[in-house]
Amino acid sequence: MEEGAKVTDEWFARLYQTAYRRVVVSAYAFNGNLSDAEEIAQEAFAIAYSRRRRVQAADNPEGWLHTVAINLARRRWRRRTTLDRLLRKEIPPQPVPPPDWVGEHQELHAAIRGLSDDHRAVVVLFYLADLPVDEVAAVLGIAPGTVKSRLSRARAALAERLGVHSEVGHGRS
Amino acid sequence: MDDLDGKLSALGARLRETVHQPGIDEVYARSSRRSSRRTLQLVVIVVVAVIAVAIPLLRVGRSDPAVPLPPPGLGPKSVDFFDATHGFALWVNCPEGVYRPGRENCTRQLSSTQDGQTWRSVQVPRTVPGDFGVVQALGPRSALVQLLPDAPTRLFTSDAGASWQEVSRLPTEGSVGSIPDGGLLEIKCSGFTVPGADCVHSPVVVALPGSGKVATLTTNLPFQPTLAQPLPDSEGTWWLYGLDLVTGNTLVARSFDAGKTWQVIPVPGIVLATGVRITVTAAGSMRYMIVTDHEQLSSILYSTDGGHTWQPVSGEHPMGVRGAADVGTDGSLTLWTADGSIVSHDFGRTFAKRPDQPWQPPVRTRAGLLSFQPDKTTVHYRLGSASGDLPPPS
Repeated sequence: MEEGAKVTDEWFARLYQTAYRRVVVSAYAFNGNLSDAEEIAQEAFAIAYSRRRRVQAADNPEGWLHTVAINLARRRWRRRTTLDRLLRKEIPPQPVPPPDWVGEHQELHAAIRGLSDDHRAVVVLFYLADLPVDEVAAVLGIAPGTVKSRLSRARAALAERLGVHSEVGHGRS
Repeated sequence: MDDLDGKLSALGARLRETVHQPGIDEVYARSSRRSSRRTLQLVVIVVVAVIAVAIPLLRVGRSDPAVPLPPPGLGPKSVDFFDATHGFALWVNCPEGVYRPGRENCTRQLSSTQDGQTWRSVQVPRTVPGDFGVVQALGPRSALVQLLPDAPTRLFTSDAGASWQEVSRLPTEGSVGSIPDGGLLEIKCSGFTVPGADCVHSPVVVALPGSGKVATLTTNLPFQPTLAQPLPDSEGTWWLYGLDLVTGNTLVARSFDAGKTWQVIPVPGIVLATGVRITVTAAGSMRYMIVTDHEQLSSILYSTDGGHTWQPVSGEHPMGVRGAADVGTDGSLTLWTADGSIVSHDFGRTFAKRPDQPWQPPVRTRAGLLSFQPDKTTVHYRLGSASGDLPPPS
């Protein structure tokens, strides 16, 4: 293996190690099923590996992966809802927590599930997938200021539902 | 852990812990399978393309007649009017009067009128393959001419064809806050986009009437538009269509102030995909949204409150709809099919044949609907209240 290819493969392995779980969580936000989200993240990384030199040269390789994963999740969701409509089924359910979750986690998960689509997207990407505001903005195709304002409103809504204290601000940027 | 940030951070950490991360070898294996699949798809596409090209060539070899272009008296390729008296028509002329794939030297002529009655024709200074051609009026003497369906450039004239400039379809002119009079609303990458493609964050752009060049339109839309209606509806409202990134639902945005501000409206029953086109047509507070998928009518929606709320029309839709739809002042909907024009008085549920049949399917212009009535020596046209004759270029 030539030296350049070896370096790229090592870089890709590090990217996979550090970003995989966050990419799964991003996809989970959009399709609500953890095993599907893992499958989508695997596919996103497979696409990234087949284009690894181009991805490595991108400004933000992890952001690229989030965008691809979310688009894959969106496309599957749309295909599934279209099929369900054709078959006269009900629309697929919203995200459900993994079965072993109890108490506080389940309550918070339910509160996030009750948010509007826009607010749920920024909360999941910022808090759960641990992306900074700029990357959330890039992934969703909206301005960073819009991300911040949605986060503020979403936090206020969550705090009210959960009856907890909500500080102003988002801690990270 | 009383504060919300702490709870969210803990939930995020718990969720990430729950994720099962397989070894990277699985990614390599999946990538390898993916490459094999794509290679196979490519081979299939090449084989199909070779067969598709070979069959017409074999037919030509058997001296089948070529597809004739309509003689000039049957009408121009594309017509657009800026207002009732300023219009453009694009004609395509191929050698021996026929277009045959492989013999790619058809020429174009642009006719223009400044009074709605007399026409002057000039040669378009480019020869390109095929017999495609679209002209779009940007001003009384300004027009964009597109010579190939997917070309990255267009030809622009600001003096009715006396001089020409080749302009890019990509945004090169910075950004604008609104659509100027004469501008066209477009999406940089039209149609639906695929994961990972460069078009994922494709901007909304405006073709500028003064130069034909393209600028990005500044919007603060909460969704990704993938489709734009190039001209406003007859009530002056601009329309954009796209997907909610979270739900995958189609969203529609409208602007009453030439693109300065946009209002998002959820519209039921539309699935955006490659080949889908949407047009809103209006009269008073009545609106119809006509959705076609690969040139076939797929959905009709109507609104009786100026486009604020929409109802999808269920049932079978007419087949083979062509040209632009028309809304009557009584709220009726007229469509054109291969069998002539049909009209509905119940919001598009049922249609009956109209008595006034002979005119060709109309096109929508800034000046209203434009219809043709060609005969052997000229093309009669009517445009809302205006009408006249369009002689073929000599």
